[in-house]
Amino acid sequence: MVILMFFSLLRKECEMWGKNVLLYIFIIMIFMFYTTQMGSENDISKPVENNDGYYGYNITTDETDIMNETIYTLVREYSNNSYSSYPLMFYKEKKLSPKESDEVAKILETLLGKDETQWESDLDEYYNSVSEKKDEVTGIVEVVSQQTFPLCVDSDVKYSDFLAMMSQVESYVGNGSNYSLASMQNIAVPMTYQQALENYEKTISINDVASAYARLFCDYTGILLGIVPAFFAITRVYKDKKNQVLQVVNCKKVSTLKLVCSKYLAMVIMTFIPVLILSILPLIHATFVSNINGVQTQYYIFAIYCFGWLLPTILFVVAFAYFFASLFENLLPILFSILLWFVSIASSASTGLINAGYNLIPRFNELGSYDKFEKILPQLIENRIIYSVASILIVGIIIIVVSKKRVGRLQFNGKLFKHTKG
Amino acid sequence: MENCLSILKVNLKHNLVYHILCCIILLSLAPLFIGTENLEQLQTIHVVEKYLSLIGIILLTTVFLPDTNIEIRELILSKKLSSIKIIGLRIIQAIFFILIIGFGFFVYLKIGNCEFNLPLLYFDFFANSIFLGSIALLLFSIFDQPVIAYMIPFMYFVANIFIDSKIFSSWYLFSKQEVAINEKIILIITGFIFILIAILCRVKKVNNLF
Repeated sequence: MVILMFFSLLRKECEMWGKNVLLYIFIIMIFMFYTTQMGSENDISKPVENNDGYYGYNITTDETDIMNETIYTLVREYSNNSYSSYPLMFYKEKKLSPKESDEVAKILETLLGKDETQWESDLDEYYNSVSEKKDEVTGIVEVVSQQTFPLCVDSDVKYSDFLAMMSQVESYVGNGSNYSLASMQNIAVPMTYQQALENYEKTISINDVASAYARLFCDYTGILLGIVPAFFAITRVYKDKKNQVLQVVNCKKVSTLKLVCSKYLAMVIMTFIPVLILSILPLIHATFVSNINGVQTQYYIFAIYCFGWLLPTILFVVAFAYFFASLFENLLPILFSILLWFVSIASSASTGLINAGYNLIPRFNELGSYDKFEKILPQLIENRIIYSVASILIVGIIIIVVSKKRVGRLQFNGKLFKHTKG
Repeated sequence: MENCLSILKVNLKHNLVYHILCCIILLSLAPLFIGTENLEQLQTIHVVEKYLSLIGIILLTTVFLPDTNIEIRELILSKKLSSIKIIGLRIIQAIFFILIIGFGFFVYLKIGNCEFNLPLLYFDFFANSIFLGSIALLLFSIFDQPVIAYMIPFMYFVANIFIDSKIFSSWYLFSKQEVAINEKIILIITGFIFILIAILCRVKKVNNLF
């Protein structure tokens, strides 16, 4: 009987959302976002050797490559005394004090195994050999040099010492600089034909084609799901308040648990179903690509990714917004939800586009690259579990808040500290 | 005249002030995560377009907010002053505060030794804010749901960050190398057309109450 009543409430809530314009706006939005984002990348196909030697970029794990690429940046920033960082998506520039600059100079001398006058003269010689070449067709100006970049890390420098020195530089420049561990772990270098071929063969041999598209789908869709479901929760509470439904509902016999859970689940279901349906489109595309490459399509893989990757995002975003909306019963939670989304998206700008960590919106903006996915998989699973559990906890808190409100407590009416005692 | 002043006063006290505070808090948080010092011209343009412009959505959405309460709507209709005048006054007041707060942020950037061409960038900021705010206003007048009014312009802003600029044609919000004055003029004109349509829609809706 109790369960029947719950499902009846849930059905009513879902029907209500089915008539709400917000749902259709969401569907249009998610469809447009999908069509404009997916499909712009190259499909998975066997690389063909070409004259220009370009086979895309790969994030390097080679310690020497990481050290040399970082030194290249550090030399440039030191020479201009202009250090860039992306603490939260936006560019931030810092000029170091003379004392800090001296410390960086010492670090450079240790890393390069040369004193400043010596490496500066090498650098001048290199820049003198640099010339600009303009492509007549595209008009793109390319910088070319007969010499290779002359400065590279001294062979005596250990990687652990290098990391310690970069950490020191980061303490001067600030978070999200080019010397943070996350930034250095995302240094991309051009792939050779052999590497590109190995990458492709790995994808085919483990039949990762459909999964590769599923990961990209989750990456793009996650951006939108990190914010839009919040608007559902805020609308729900705001509408109830505006239409003075709350007073009527509060008098009903139905328990707060059933009331909150039915509303919460209805919002989750109604935002998740369009995502599931939309995932059929990339699945069709993945099937097509799989057939071309002669591998069998795993049709269930998109559903697994949607449930495991995207559903926890929806669960948390709805719970987060629903909590604040229930507490304040106004539009302020829009600001909180936007800030949450902003911080999540922005932090991925500094940690890289292949990262899970504790970010609400995990990123994997690359087609294929199973090796990289394998590396972040344990933290991705942990991340998704944390957000799912946190959502359940928040729903528990919402039940407490709503039950208190039903008996006339926690009524702020615009005054934050009114009626909070007792 | 006295009526107008009292409308502006009441709107400021009971409606606009909270949103002005939100804007001030949002902009005060800026130095925590974006560069506001020693920025080159293009970097300053990015900060203004991708951060400051958002205040247009916050402030222009306030115009129809008091009318979501049906009792207030009835009260407005019972007064002699036409609802079109009241809405017009609220829009002018919101735009005035967009300009004032925006100018305050420019002063802050100047103190931070940022490079920018004030008249050009101020116009850029104004165009973006008015355009985003006008989308909010138009949707509010159509759907009567403030959440949709906040959501769509914000999502438009997000789409501008993530989606290829060609799709937006002249209605792309961000500058690539320098402020494209022609595109900004189109944004401003579109913004004011949206505001006009929003007013007409709203007045029609409010008058249909009786």
